[in-house]
Amino acid sequence: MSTAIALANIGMWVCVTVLAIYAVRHYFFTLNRLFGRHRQPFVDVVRADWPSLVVFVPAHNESQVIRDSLDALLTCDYPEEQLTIVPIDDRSKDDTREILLEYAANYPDRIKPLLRDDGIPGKAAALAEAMERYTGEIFLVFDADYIPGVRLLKQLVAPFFDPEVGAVMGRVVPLNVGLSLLTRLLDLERAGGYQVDQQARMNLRLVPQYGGTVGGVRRVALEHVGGWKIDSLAEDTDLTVRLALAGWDVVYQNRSECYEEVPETWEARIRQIQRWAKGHNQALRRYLSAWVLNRSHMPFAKVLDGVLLLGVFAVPLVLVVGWACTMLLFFAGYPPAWGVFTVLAISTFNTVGNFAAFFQVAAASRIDGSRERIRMLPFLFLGFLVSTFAVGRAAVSRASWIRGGPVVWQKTERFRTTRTGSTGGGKS
Amino acid sequence: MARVTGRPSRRVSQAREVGFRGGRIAPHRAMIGIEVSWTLLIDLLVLPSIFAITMLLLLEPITAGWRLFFEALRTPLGLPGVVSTRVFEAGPFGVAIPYYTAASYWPETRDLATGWFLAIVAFTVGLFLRGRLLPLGYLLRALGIVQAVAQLWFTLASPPFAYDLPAYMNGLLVYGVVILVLSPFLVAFTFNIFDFRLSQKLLMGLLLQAHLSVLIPLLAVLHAWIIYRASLLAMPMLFFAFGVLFVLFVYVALYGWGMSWRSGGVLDATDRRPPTPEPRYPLNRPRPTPTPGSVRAITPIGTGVVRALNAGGQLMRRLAWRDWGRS
Repeated sequence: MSTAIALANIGMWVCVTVLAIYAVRHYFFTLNRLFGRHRQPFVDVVRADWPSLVVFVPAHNESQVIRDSLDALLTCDYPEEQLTIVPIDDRSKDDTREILLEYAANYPDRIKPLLRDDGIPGKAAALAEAMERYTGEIFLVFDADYIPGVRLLKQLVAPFFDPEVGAVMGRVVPLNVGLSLLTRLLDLERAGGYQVDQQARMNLRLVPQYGGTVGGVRRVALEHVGGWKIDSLAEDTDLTVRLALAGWDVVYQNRSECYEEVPETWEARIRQIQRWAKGHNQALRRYLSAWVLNRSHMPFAKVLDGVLLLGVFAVPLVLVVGWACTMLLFFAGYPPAWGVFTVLAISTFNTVGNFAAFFQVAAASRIDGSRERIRMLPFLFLGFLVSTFAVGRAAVSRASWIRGGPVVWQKTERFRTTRTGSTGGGKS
Repeated sequence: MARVTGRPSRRVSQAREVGFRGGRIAPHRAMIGIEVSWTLLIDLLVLPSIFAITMLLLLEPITAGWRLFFEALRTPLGLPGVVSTRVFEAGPFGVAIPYYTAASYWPETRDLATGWFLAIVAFTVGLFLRGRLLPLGYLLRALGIVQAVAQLWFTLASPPFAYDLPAYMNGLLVYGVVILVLSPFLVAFTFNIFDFRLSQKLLMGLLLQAHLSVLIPLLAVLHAWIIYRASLLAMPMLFFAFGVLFVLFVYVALYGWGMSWRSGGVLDATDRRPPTPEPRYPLNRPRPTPTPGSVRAITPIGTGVVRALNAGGQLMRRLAWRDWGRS
């Protein structure tokens, strides 16, 4: 019994240390976002010798949303002669293919769909195949539910005027915010993630994450790091890490905002976050050792940030282990006495430590001008609870840590009302 | 010679935000931030220090009030024992914290059966909650698991339990005292750093401390009453789910409300619902029609254009009147 208590004691302090590091990171990033100088390279460039650009829109059963996305891309102010829009239909079973062919017929010089019926399924494989066929200097990727603004393409391409930049990422803003408690909570979470977290990493020259959509990559950089990993569950995280390891910069453009549709049901949200968690953990398994061994080529802060970024979806597992150890110690009667240091440490950690994430989200929403939405802050606990369970389950899944397994299209359900008037919601 | 810093001076930065007719151009939300100033440093260091020192001075009467509160509620709630005090010392400081001597009991078979029933019901109901109620389902499942662990412990272990009711309550109150003294610094570094007015910063600090001063003894009495009635079996659940975590969420709720206040500062510039400007004319009568002269004064277009627009407007109104008369 004493051995179990000793192990639980060690386990609890290890977990507390890990969580405290993440809490300090939350505070540090938030303070940097509030008081720091913001890096937004070349975001205001409107006249330039723009490079050739190919915009990919991977789609799998996206008939409900893809028209909006293509319409928005067609109205962007990027020079027409330098822009090619390539929607990729990967074995859709709905009307996606017919819609793409209709658009291709109407805009034959601008929209060139790629229709896939065989080969490995999945977004990464679809992108890998599409990129082999086009020789643009810059590749941008948008998911089919994203609606870019008029200036977005130029804003996202502008950072590539710096030859050291390998990838760029824009900001994702939820479109369907006011529909349910979940969409409101996701709006708060997204605000914290982009307005504070990504921008602070950009300011501090750490590792902003390329998110796989509303972003892009330089073709040369992509070829340098070996192209898309088609067996990757999170091709965006995978590419971010490989680019950083190869010495390429990843840029986050906070002003380049693009609307997306967030999940409207908790079930869809759980599937989404589990997919992210598995992909992230897969990247952690693949690249952690390379990242740490490569530390002599990178500043220590960047190495640390990379490790914390890769491990972010393992934190719920740490949290669960920490709670288990704490419960064991509680029943065993530890600590035996209320020492002053213990009281202060526990009090401080419980309040200041646990509050860090709320602080980050509130600061981001305040900066965003979403003042009144911050009143939803206590409800974030529900979102954290569901995420902890879902990510914890993903963290112990086979896909997170073991090689192999079939790659399939795992995508989020769409809820947008179609133009014919019916409401979506079917699993796609 | 001026040093090249690569950063625009404050005068240049401010000039960039001056718009047409002297108005202010709200910066994009991606570019907005807060400047470090002496007043901010005062808000971060002096304000919380004043609050914390005041709280240290007030601790004795506050904890004395808690003791009176316990004594007043003891009889109506049917709680035995007496309320004495124990001194909690931290360095040179010491404060007498109420110490309640009522003892709870090791759970009996009936308590264990009730506990198992509640844990299983919570977990099972949690499994079946779907759709919008899914997070509530997860919460119930988590509570069910915590209670089930407590059930297992009390089924397999033998008395005495590591904690008794007086020590538990004393721990909760000690935590409350520490939080009361430290909370001004939490408010400072999470609320005062924003561009709120001094009155708002003072109000947030006051609200939190007043709220905690009342909540903590209430929470302690409620816990004592439940543990006394439902045996020590209730203690783990109360400790893990409705103790420190609950107090934290009080601050989260208060903080969320405070952060939604309009500050009138730089962060309000990007507000999606800007303040309604003061009307230039009384709202109960129509605004006067602009004359070519008045429009000329505020727009770069010529008087001829304004006259043409006026004439066009009058023509449209007459046509509309004629159509309406026909119908």
